[in-house]
Amino acid sequence: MDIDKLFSRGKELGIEEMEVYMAEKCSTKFKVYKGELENYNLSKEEVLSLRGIHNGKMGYSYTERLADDSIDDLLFNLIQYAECNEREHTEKLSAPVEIKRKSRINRLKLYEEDRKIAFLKSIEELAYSMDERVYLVEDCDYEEYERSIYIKNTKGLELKDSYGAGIINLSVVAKNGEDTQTGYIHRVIDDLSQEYKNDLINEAVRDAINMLDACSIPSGDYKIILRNNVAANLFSTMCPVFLADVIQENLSLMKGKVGKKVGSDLLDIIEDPLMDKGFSYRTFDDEGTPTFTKYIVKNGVLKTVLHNNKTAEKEGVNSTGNGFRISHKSSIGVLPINMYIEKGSYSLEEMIMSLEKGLLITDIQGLHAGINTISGDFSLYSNGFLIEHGKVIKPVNQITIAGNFYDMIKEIQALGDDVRFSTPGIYYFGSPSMMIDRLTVSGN
Amino acid sequence: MLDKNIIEDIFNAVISNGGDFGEIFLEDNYTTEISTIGGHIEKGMSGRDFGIGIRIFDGLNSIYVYTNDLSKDNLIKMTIKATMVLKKSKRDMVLKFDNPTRPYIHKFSILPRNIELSKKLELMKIATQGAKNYGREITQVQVNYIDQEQNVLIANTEGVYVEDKRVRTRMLIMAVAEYGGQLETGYVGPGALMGFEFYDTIDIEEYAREAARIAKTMVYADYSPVGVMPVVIDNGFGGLMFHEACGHSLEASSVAKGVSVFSNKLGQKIASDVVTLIDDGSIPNFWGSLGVDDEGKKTQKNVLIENGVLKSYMVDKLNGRRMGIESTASGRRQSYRFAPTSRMTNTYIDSGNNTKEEIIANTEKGLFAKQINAGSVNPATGDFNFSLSEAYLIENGKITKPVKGATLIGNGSKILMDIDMVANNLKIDQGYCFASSGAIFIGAGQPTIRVKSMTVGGREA
Repeated sequence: MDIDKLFSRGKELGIEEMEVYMAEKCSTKFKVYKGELENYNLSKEEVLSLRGIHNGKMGYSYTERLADDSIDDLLFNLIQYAECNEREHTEKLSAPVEIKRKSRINRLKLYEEDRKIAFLKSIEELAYSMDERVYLVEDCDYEEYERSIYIKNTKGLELKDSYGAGIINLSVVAKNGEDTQTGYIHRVIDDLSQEYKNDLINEAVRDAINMLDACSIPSGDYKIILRNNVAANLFSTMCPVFLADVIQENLSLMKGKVGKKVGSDLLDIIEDPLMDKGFSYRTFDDEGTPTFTKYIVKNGVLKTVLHNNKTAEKEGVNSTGNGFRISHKSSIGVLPINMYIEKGSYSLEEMIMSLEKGLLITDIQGLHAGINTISGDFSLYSNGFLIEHGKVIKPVNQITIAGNFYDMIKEIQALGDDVRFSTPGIYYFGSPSMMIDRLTVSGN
Repeated sequence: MLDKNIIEDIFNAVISNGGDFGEIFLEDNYTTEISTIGGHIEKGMSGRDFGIGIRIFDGLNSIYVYTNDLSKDNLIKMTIKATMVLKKSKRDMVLKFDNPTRPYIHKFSILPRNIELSKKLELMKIATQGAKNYGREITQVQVNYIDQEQNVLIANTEGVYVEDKRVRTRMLIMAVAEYGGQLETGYVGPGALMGFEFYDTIDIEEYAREAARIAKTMVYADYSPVGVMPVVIDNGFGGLMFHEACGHSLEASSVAKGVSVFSNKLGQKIASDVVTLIDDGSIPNFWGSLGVDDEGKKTQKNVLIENGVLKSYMVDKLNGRRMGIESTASGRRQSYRFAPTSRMTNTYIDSGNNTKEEIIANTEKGLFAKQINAGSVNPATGDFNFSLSEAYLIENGKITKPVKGATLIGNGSKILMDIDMVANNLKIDQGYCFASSGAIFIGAGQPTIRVKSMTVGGREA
């Protein structure tokens, strides 16, 4: 699409300022099944989102049909939106800005495709060879994408950024007689290293095998260790409570808590869009604000929440460079890029050894349903292990763990040295394993 | 929607590089998705989704290509690049297809894209006000409005060449109630495979009051008791339990590789006698319905479990190949960005012989699950969970006080045997389902049913 033509047609229709956001994404994805390349995916897409000010109000529209015949649709949809927009605060388009940080290099691009396929095949083969109870390697997928963002507005701003990453998904089904258990891992990778390979296989196979012959346990309050993957996914689901747009709409109990204690002394939370091994890497946000690394929580005190231009202006502070769109179909909201809890000093083994009686939780399910992100109450299907006298006694399933997120983060008693990230998605969150004073377990 | 010659060129490229099946899925989708908070437009926009997905089989292996650059050059280049991984030589195949057919069965009268955004916003404001007026406890109302006009063209090397139009409209209303520092929410989400005429058939204010009623009831509720007890699940979206507990495990995507708990069990008794489970994508204008599935086959009614006996799986084309059976018109995908796989449409438990009153009166002590929020399942183990958004205690055969924070967990193959009563008040509601081929629109329903014993999770030990 001819952007200059879009802008000049927009001016004709009375749109004062305009900005295009264009995202181009190419991806390759493949799956290995029983030694064969079972599935191979290739994609290439370019999408466009438009925002602009009409009669002093912001309007938005998008298209995936990047031809000049889409120009009028884009502009008319934008005008209709602006006419319906009753918000007092209109976000401003940014003036030109210099971005000092360089884009991240995607090291995976250095490998030939055949090497990637061979790498994946060797993972599957090794997973089968780890234990004879491995019944099926159900998913063994590799995905790699390269994304570039281009922003141009009528104030003269023009920016471009690109980044890429790889993800491996591995899920294993183990069987022992009639009993079936599963283990899985989703991991962002930036290299085809032996270390990644070992981690992936160990975690997925270990979880499936160790859970065999699990059973429920009596209901009651237990001391809990949330393993790193579990804590990461739980925090990932709750992390919108740290976003200013959510807070300003009264949908987070972090409202009015900046400068106040919200968590245990041990808790430090960082947001880092420039993290070397992050899922994404952004040098500026979707409003053109340069990004930077910051503490959200330090020693349990809420230092800042995340802002875009609009939410920052409302509170008389500066944007934290977190004005992002979830996709080209969404207006600019507030999003973290990479967020994590800083590691503590204990190994998971040390935490287990210190537990007289309790539970190690290794998997939780139903996060989209089992957490009330507004009240913080959660009740989640869990798998894990019963621990007594510092030793793992038996695998446990068919239980739920329940508590309240806001209470729980005040009751963190120890943090591990083993940060893991959540399933790659909108909220990419890292956490070490953590020991919690108590959570309620429902079982038999 | 796409020049027939280009389709033929794509298919010739597929065959030349050793594919034994080729398919295109072209999508042109006009959408509006906006959300208001407190009646003010906050997020979302109108626009157009546009692109093509090309799928290729070589035996049981498959290739998927998608792009929104529809130039002939790009389409052929990408098809060739992807099929090269097959490392196969040309197939001997003859292409045959003439003109696209339009086997529509669903009627639409008002296309949402012809309605001004301000009209849509007006409805959202009515909903917001309706919920707000319910009580002073209601502190926030969020409304999401969604409409789509998805035009698709599906063609394959076996002669399928069809177009389908899917017009969908839905409004999700979320009310937040606050009392004593506690926040609770109530949701409703009426929707249909209909145009804007849908709003002439429903009273949106009534739905808004319902969302507010749930939020207000729950904000005064105590935490649910936990442990093992009888659970009565009310009619409507309670059917999501079957969607999770056994629907996913009956999809060919988990059955075909022998992973599902229900693999190799056709003809066997897998549920109690009172259970008949149906998946029907052809119900006129229902939220989970389609004219043809996303592989171009006319949708149909599939009886999955009849009086406790497993009769059929939900099967897509590729998994059908693996299993050696025909597709049941269950191939679905979110958009051109996803290869289709076996998914649900409108899935429900059929009406039984009891009444809701009988079921409650016959339950000494237990939990009454009135509204289900959402849930998930691990198809390999059958372990499922879902959370309740509105629940009550049953004491001495009567529904008593509301309780909050409850999660129901269990195992799909066990719970099907534990259903002992099914009422005669079938109702099908609307929702979304997330799986490997993306987020799709589904109906879930049931009459009021009783599970004789289930684990209830929550905060009060």
